[in-house]
Amino acid sequence: MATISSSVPATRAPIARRSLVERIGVGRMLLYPAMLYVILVTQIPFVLTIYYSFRNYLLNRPDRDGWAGLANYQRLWDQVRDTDSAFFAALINTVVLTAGSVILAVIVGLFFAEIVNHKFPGRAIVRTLLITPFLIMPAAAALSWKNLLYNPNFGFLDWFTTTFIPTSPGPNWLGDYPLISIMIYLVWRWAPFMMLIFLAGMGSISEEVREAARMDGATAWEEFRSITLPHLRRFFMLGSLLGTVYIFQDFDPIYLMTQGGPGNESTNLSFLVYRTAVSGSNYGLASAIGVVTVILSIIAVTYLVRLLSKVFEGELSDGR
Amino acid sequence: MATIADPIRGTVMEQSGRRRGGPRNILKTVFLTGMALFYLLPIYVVVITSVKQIADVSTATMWELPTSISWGSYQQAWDSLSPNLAQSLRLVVPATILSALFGALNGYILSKWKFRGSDVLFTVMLFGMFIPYQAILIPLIRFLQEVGLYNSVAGLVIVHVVYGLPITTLIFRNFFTAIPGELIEAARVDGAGLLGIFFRIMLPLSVPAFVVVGIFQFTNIWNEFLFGLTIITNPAEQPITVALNNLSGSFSVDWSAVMAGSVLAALPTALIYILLGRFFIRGMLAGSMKG
Repeated sequence: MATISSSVPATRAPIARRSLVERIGVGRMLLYPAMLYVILVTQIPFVLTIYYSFRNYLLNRPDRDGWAGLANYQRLWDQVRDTDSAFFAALINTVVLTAGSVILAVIVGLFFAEIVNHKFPGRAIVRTLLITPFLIMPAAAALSWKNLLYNPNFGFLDWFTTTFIPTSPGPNWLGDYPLISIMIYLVWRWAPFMMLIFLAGMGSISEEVREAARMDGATAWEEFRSITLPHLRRFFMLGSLLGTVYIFQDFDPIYLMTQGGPGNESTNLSFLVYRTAVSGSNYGLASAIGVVTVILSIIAVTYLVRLLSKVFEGELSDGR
Repeated sequence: MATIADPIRGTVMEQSGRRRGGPRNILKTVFLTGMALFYLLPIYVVVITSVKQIADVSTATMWELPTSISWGSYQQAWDSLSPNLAQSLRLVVPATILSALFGALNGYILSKWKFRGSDVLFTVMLFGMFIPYQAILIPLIRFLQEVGLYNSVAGLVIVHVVYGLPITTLIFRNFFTAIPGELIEAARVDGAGLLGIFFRIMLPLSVPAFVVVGIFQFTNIWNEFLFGLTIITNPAEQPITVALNNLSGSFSVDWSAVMAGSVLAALPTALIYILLGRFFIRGMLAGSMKG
């Protein structure tokens, strides 16, 4: 700052320039506290969560408050080695639910995008219709799936199975296959989002390249594999990253459709944090699970970025 | 690649290859439309159930069109949900405006007034986007209890503004980075200061960014469930997402009213997407690709 204000006045408009630069210099000084405030407000709660995770903090036993060291984490670690524990179940469920939903949603979304990207009459309507599941409020969608589709006495799926397979009574979807049912709902909801992302990517492939490939006798599949797919690299990354981040933390469908049950069969980490804090009143343990969730999601995202860039580098070198 | 992109052969292709398969196209359209409709079955069931009379709602006639359209369930849903809809509006409007404004200021400073450590600061802020809400819920509730904003819409507004800041800052920062520095230099020479430049030059230029951020925040906050559930405990004052769940969880559940409520609750965001969706997708891609 000082060097600028001393050198600039020597050249032109000396007086006006100097006062201006000084004024902005003061303005800049004012930025530090403002930015600091932003950081404090957005980051402090998480720092506090880390702090709570090292404490005994039970709402219904205030007499036990105090420093706990690693006790909460120790408890979680013990649960990791116990396959019947809630934390173990939540870990597995979170991984299965996130990986399964993201992979399936990407595949279905890619399929939709490839279809909608080709010209055919009524394309605009089909595209708008396909986006709808993503536009609908998640809470409303989850409740509708639970009550109108999965309901064992009353739901559409029950009607479907009893009508077409009269001998079978039809499964109790949310009771017998809670995780799969939630996954189907999540794929239904996220595939349109993936489609949107892939469509944005496909829109930037020049039509000339496609036409030229077709001229050279490329089949639809070859065209898709050697032109569309490599081009969509960044969009794959973007879609699966956003999907992973959101679905990893998803709370609403679990709370609304199964409450994590039956037992712990559909409890994920997010829901376990909520349950431990609100029903279990154990804020210390809940905070520890929250910290673990954050660490795991960072690991998942980092790993995913590495994996995807490797996969696509391989793809590209094969293509050439 | 180079051999394929032959312009002459390309034009030949256009003449011979375009028109082929008219009937095939029609078949394809029928098939695809059918598939799209199948995909949308859940929505179809919701909508027809919402206009059925209670007596008509049964497994056997689940997918059938109602014998007569009845708007009674909408009336019923409106009667029980309108306070919560109003509550959601009272929450969404200020939270969206404030988080967009603060995001714009942050983005402006982080892109045009870089100072030592500003990039580190930005990275730390972005970290906030990856924190699941569950992980900060407990300190948040305690803080709101201590300042007396627990159980109030004002408390919820603050929470949403704070947790909207990382994404709004990111979008505005990327937007402002694209604005040439000469513009600011010129304004500086004309005697405008830090805030003068922001209000007179950057704000008028940033209408597209405000549209993107506005849509993003409006939808996110309108659809948010966990904070609404935990920060406001009085059912009459909870936002619409939670109220919908309360409605479907009550003892004698009237499905057509619940479905009518779902349609009502989903309407505002769906309308926004349909009218302004293009901006949103563009902004979302720009925001996440550059960041």
